[in-house]
Amino acid sequence: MKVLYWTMLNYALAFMFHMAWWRVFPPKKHTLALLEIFFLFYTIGCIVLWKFPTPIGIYTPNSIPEFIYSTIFYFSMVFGYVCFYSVLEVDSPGLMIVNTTAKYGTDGATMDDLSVIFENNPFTDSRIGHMELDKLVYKKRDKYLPTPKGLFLMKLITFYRDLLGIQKGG
Amino acid sequence: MNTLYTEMMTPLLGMALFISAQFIVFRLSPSVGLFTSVIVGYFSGLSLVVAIQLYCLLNSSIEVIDCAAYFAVNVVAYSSMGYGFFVYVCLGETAIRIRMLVELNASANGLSKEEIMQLYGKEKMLAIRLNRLTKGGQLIFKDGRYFIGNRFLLFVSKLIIILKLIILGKKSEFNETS
Repeated sequence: MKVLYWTMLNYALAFMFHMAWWRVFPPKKHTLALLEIFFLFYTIGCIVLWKFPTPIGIYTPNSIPEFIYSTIFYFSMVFGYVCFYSVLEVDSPGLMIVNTTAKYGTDGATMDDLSVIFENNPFTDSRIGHMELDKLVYKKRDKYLPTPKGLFLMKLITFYRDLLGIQKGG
Repeated sequence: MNTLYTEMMTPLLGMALFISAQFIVFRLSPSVGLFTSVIVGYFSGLSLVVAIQLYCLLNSSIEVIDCAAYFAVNVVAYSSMGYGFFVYVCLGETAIRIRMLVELNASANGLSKEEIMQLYGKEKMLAIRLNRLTKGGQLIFKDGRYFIGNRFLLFVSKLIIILKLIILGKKSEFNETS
């Protein structure tokens, strides 16, 4: 019960801070800012817990195993949310096709109706911008090249897909 | 104390079974599809989480209310990790960014913006996605027109728009406001 209470309280506080921050001054590097917020709130939570083991009316972990358990719980939720956020922050072309098709209802959408979504290639442009901002690619003269960070991410993703024997998507 | 250690390990053991089951199912029968293999993996791991919880309830002195709290913690922790794994596995299937990185890595001297745009021409991007969506049953192609098939993805799409409005304050990355 202590693990559930304390971790959820810590997570909820971090989440509310994230929502408020995004409304007032959205950061440029979203994922990094998210990780910083959640890590900061966890650290502050731990210090508060260590200094004041029984805050008013809140059950707090008081043994090392409970603390480790709480850490696993907290960071698994952070991991899940950061993954979810990566889906949320950019538009998915697939979901936009589904949405546009739904708008045409029983009349159905033609290829031309759907190709409007890709007019001026907004997705490619946006992804290049994001990758440059996240330092996954860099520009040398007029050419884009992957950075070591970008290569690491690519290998991380393709490693498991290679094990499964799946061809490239995109 | 032993119960606590068991509870602590439960979401991790669930994840180990999730990944193993997903891998085995997909390798043995690729025709089931990536999504189905992930679902099978998720429920395999979840059943282990439930089984460990029942074991702890029946074989230790912890109270039912504490057991319920542990169960909630383990299911949420397991599902969060599981969702992360789902995104990891499916990311390469749909992510333009990963595909671009693969293409940039394969090119000897990198690619210019124009070359990338050419590689990801609107016809090609649309065709790949329409093929995937019709194959998955989310869209139906009939008499030269596309119709909504399975409504699950439409539901997901609506849900994501609502969450975007709540969290980001806008419907789309291309709109500055909703």
